[in-house]
Amino acid sequence: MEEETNPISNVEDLHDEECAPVQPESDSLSSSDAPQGEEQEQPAAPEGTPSAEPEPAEPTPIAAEADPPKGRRNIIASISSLFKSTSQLLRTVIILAVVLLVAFGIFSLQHRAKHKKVVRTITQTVVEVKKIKEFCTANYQEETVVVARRKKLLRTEELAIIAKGTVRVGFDLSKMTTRLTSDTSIVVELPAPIVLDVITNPGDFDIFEENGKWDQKVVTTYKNLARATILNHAKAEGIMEDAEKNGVEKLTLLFKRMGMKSVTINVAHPEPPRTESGTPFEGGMLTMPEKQDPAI
Amino acid sequence: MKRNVLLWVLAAMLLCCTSCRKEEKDIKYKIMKAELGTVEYTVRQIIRNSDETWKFFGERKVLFSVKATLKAGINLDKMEDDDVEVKGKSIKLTLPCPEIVALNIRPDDIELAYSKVSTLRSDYSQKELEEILHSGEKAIRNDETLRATILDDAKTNAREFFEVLLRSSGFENIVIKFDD
Repeated sequence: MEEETNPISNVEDLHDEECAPVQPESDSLSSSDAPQGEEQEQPAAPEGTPSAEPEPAEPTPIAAEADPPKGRRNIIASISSLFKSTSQLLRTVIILAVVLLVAFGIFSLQHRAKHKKVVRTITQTVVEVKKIKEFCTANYQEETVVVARRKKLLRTEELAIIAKGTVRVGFDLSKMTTRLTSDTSIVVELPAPIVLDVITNPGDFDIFEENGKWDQKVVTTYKNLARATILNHAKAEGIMEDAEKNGVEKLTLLFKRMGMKSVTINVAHPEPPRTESGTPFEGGMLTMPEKQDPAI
Repeated sequence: MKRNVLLWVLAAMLLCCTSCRKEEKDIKYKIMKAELGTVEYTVRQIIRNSDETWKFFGERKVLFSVKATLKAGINLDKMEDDDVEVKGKSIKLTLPCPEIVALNIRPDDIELAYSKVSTLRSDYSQKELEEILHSGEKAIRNDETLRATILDDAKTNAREFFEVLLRSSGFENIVIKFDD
């Protein structure tokens, strides 16, 4: 209720209080043992009573401070009124700050908790079971980086993916034939080594940088580009030759352990199919344009 | 004493430097193997993610349909000379236990079937989607029932493969067991 009153009238009230002969601090300190009621009664004493009036002849230094000149009193009053309005302002600012802090806290927590409290349910069904005879003889592992960029009105959006891939190379032993030439010698006909798998599982991809919203299909395209890059590098590093050499070694060892003294392994090398231009066709490779269309 | 401490600190710093240098290098390497894959399972998996952290602000849901291929077989590198006993036309072969040799989830086999994000919620980032998919991959790897089934099939098929191979190599009495 006090806050609603006119500040000027407050000032006047304050003047009256200050003009009162009560010593603001010294008296209250000296009469600390006295009951509070007495302290309040003192200014209410009749003005004519000489004992109730302070002695102006020899004022104590404290009393002099408590009774400042009029100009000074005005300053003090205006400062205190200013303090009152300032305290209101301060209160508003503090409330605003607290609200802002709470809002910021909620949003930062939301951002942080994005990955935490999630519900994941996974169900799976076996759709196919296949009998295979694959002899994997070499693996090639590589980490590669694919960067996608597209220009928007004022900025460039980027997506940088680190992909770790494994290329498994070996033989399809369902096409293998064996021929005994004697009790302890064998001739094995092996097909040419093939790429059995290019493995880039979700756990092998690391989204290093992501600016803007990228469609899942676009991301899949870039993941396939990373796979193709890894496969190209594997072939360039001679993984097919290594797989063939190691396969022959391992099979020879296996047959020798079985008691064969002579093991001959022939690996088929079919000529790669040729395109119309006459250049060998690299089957199974994904070719991507050098510059990506930003629309994809 | 002080000198020793100083030497240890220097050695540790050197080690740190070398490991940092290793990280900067391109990781490319080849591993020679001898894995005989005998069975391939194709698994269809549904990965559901429902982010209920800030349900007050709305929902975030995503559903993936993923096709994964698992291959299991025998690691022939684990075989030793003692694992093969030959006596005339009889052979006793001890094979190592089958194991999962490959799990492959091709990017093309990941289908985003459904996605719902409320207006007040931020959309799933690619990093978050990758994490969700990764959890699905882990679930396949850690599925003990599936693992047991596939390894059992791998064992049966490996036995069958070696029986045919050994018979065509002239053996009549064939005993195949697994190193359990």
